Amino acid sequence: MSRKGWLIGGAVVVVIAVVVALIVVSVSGGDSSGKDPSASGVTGVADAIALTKGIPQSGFTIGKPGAPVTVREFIDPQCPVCKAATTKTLPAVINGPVKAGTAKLIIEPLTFIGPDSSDAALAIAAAARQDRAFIFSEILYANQGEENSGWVTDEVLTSFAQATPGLDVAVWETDRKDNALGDALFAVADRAQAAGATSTPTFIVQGPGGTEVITGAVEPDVVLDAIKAAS
Amino acid sequence: MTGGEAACVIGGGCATVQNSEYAQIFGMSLSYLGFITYAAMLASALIPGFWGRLLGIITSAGGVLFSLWLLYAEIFLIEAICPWCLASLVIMLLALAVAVARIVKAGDLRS
Repeated sequence: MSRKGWLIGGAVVVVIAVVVALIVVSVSGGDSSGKDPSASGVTGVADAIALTKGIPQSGFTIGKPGAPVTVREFIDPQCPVCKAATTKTLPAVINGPVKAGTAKLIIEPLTFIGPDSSDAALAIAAAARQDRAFIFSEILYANQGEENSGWVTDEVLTSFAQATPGLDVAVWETDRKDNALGDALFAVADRAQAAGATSTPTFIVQGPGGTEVITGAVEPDVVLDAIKAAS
Repeated sequence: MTGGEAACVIGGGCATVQNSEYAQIFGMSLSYLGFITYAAMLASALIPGFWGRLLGIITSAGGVLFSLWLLYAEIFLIEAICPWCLASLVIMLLALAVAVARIVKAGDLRS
């Protein structure tokens, strides 16, 4: 082989050695960003109460039922980007047009990430029967664990329910085992498909002025502008 | 890398992969490592002659190997697929094919 051939062969061998070293470092280092909610108390309750104070909630909806603009937010309870949206995007939307009565927000829980998503979504749906889906989901996101780690236990969900103001925990406990809730979640999946929502969070902003589909934990202005345009 | 957050793709792995312990090396996000690799790959295409071809085979071979490791980690360790990582693997494979073709065409392996 030529000198150039040996150089290329040697370089490839070095590359393999470097990549193996990087993989070893990758396996041995780093921390998981998820947390185990069962290991700590429920947090974010005061913020959730402050955010929703004085705003009507009904089923999965927060805001005046007659608001001209409807914002549907497709979420997965385990989706970390949806959690990011609760702190980055939603407060301005809730404190702005939702509080003002020009828009209402409907949360639409999907369950595609894993079994923990299903249990959490059923818990949200059960809270919706008591018109507290939004505040329950806010508390859930504030205490979100690592995806598919088994963090959504009965104990954790019950602690969220107990932290949700005005929620009858015994009724919620019975409701979340109701098979009809599962059907409601299938209907959410159908609506997501019909709306062309292929990821979470997806905001469907709909009003007399038209419809806009927004994906991701976007800056609040993106949703606020869409609400204005749809008004 | 920009600090923006992708959405969780239905049927994909959401941010599981990006948030996993495998997403960083020496505290540096893999997205930066990918950026450096792609920048070096671009440079290899612009550098004429043997050294450009050598840089091309180094970056693409390294990229393919690391992407294959990530694919293994996604399937068997994290149990979530990252669509962006799969797209990167495909690009790396194509780049490796181009890099090998450049070397063969130039006759670098001939004695």
